[in-house]
Amino acid sequence: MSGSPLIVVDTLVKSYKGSRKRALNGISFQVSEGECFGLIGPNGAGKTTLMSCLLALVKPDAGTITIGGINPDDLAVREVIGFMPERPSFESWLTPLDFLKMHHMLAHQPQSTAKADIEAVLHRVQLEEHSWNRPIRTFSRGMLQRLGLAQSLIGKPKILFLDEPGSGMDPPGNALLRTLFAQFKKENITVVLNSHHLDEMEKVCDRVAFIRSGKIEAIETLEEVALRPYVLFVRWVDSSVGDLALKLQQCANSSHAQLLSHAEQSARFSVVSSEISAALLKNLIDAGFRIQSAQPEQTTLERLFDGSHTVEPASP
Amino acid sequence: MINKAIYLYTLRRIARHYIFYVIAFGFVFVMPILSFLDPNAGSSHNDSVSSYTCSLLFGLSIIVSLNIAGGGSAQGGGTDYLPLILSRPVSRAQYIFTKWLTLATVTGTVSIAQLVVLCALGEPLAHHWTLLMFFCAVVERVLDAFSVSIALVMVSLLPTRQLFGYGVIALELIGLNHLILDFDFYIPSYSSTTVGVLRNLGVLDWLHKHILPLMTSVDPSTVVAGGTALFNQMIDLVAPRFYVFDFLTNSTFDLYPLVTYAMNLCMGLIICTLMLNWRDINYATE
Amino acid sequence: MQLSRKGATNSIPIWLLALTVGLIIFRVALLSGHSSQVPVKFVDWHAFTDLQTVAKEQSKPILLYYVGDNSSKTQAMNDSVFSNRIVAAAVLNNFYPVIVPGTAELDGDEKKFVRRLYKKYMVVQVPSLVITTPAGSEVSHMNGFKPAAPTYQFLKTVAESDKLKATEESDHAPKSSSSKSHKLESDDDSHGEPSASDVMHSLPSRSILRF
Repeated sequence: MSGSPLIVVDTLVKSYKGSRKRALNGISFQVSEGECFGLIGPNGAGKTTLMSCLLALVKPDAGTITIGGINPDDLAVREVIGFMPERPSFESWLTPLDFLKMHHMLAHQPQSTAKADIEAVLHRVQLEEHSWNRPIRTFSRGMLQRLGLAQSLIGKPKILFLDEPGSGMDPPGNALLRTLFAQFKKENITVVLNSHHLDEMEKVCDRVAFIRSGKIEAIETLEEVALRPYVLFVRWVDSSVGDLALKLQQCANSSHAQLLSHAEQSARFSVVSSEISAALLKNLIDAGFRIQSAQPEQTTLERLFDGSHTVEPASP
Repeated sequence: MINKAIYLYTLRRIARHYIFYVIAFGFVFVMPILSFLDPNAGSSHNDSVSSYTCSLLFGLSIIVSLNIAGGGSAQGGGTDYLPLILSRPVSRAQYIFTKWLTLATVTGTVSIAQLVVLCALGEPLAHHWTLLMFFCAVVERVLDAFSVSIALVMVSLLPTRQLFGYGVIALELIGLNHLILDFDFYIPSYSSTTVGVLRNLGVLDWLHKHILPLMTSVDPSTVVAGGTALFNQMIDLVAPRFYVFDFLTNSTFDLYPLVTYAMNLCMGLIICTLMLNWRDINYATE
Repeated sequence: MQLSRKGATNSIPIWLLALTVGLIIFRVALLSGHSSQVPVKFVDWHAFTDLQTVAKEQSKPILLYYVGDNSSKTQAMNDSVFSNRIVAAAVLNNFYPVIVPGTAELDGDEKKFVRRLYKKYMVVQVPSLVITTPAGSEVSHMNGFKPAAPTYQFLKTVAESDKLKATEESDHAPKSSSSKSHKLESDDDSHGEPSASDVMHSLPSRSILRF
């Protein structure tokens, strides 16, 4: 990632007519060139509105956005961005080749390379060749997502805005996405990604912004999110340890963890770091528990939804 | 200013609907034949085959069926998905221009084809057209297609189904005004034209009492006359007409109608662009 | 990555704005000239009172031009259609043009006569053109404002139509007692009012109206 920010959002405010609360309430952040920046948050947090403002489809009431130092509604910005909306509406009678040909022209790509570019991008999103001449109305959800992705890539963008690219994708589709994101990284393509697939986002994002009620509550790298407290769920096989509750409490206390609940062969602990988690497991083993498995109850990013944080937002 | 991709794509979208070929067939062949065979047609100016009728009604059939410009998903019917198009390096003005030109191409083609069939049926000979009248008729059909298409694009851009419906009704009223109501009512018993008739029927007094109570110093007939004039001005703004033959052959050379037509066309384009600019396009609800 | 501006997507093209503003200014400048323009008058419209003598002295069909009172559509027709040489030639060469005004400026018998003229040919819209034979039988009509070309085509078509000839011939044919007479001279009013010819005899002759 280069040092200077590519996308700068400053104190963005937006409210819709007839709505009592603001959709965006003073949002500020920066995204560096080549970075994969994730947006997560509960439904109605304002992620789609933020995306729409970044794409200059919606005019904010206050605040500024610059992309590459200029206003996002400039034609120069349009030439370098690709956009994949969640659940786009495609003309059902078009075939993928016709559809991409139209977007190839719209993206001001040279006519001479149209055929080669279209085929290359369809191969890249692994859309099967026998479907290239079928009307789009015959496509499944996953195929539509691949086509949407192809549409966003046809203009050879430097910045990608992706809204739920993994929605409706099968496991090979998710693997494809991971591959593509790795390629984007190599090609220094900046990605702004909005998704509810937190496990996938954990693998591809450099930083994530957690948005709730129109405000950014945290912007952290994945490592910083991993430092947040979480719940460790431990299972053991039948172990004769005497007073179960006492033993568990002693192990928790000695490793600075907190016992939340327990059953005959499982328990939940609140831990604040991986070191404490490791110490807790060692104490449990030393106490005679035959540990079967130990895993966080939430994914790393789900911890953001808990609302507590112990680290400062990271700078780009 | 014209985007080739949007132009070709919109033409394709219209062309794939076979219903338009049926409607076009009616305008191009059936109506001229019926008009020509009408034994009571003492005048060649049959409104059913006028350029304005053709462009307006055919254009209305397109936009009602297709939502040819980005009207929003509230209208249904598979309109353009504007978020994808407008995320490309395409200005909104370019989008409007292209949609306008596409509609004008289609309606103008059908209108001129109708004229060709009328000529083939012998209309010029039967009704004493001169060569100049023929050329002027061709140009007028093109100009009417351009002006009607602006109004059609304007209506297409209305964001909700309800507003779109009102827009269609407004267009029909405009057509009615141009084609059928191009006169003043006159009932000699009342010794006056439309405003006078209203006065004598007591309508103006009613308006004066109930609608214009504050405008005590204003003569209701003035208000009605002014309102009628304003209504006609607005209609001319939305879908102006320009009579080429009159312009070329009138004894006094008057640029005023041509300038008015061109001005109204340009203002229509600007209004359409402003309408699209004004809209927030939230892709989640489009 | 620094980008250079290429223009906002929601801007109105400068040339379109400039053209529109220019046209607005031009139109405003032309407006006063256009409003004060006096259209050239090519057609000498005869007064409605001449109808009394037309049947006797003219062989051309009569073109009745109903104008009403203060109609803007009629004014438009006067300005743009009847000031057109081609239309004027068609009128003067083929018809005896008579203008039928509104009744606002008339009184007494003249007023009644004009009202009957409107009623006779069922004219409720102005401007209207009604073509009749010299005897008063209606041949054709055209309602509302029409530009020069359709008006010319209407006039020429009717002037050379078989219908005109047939109507003229039926006027000259002997009539049965049950047939309705459409002659202007013998316009018997079934309500006992004086006929048009009686009215016309009592009216002073009017000079040719040029409008």
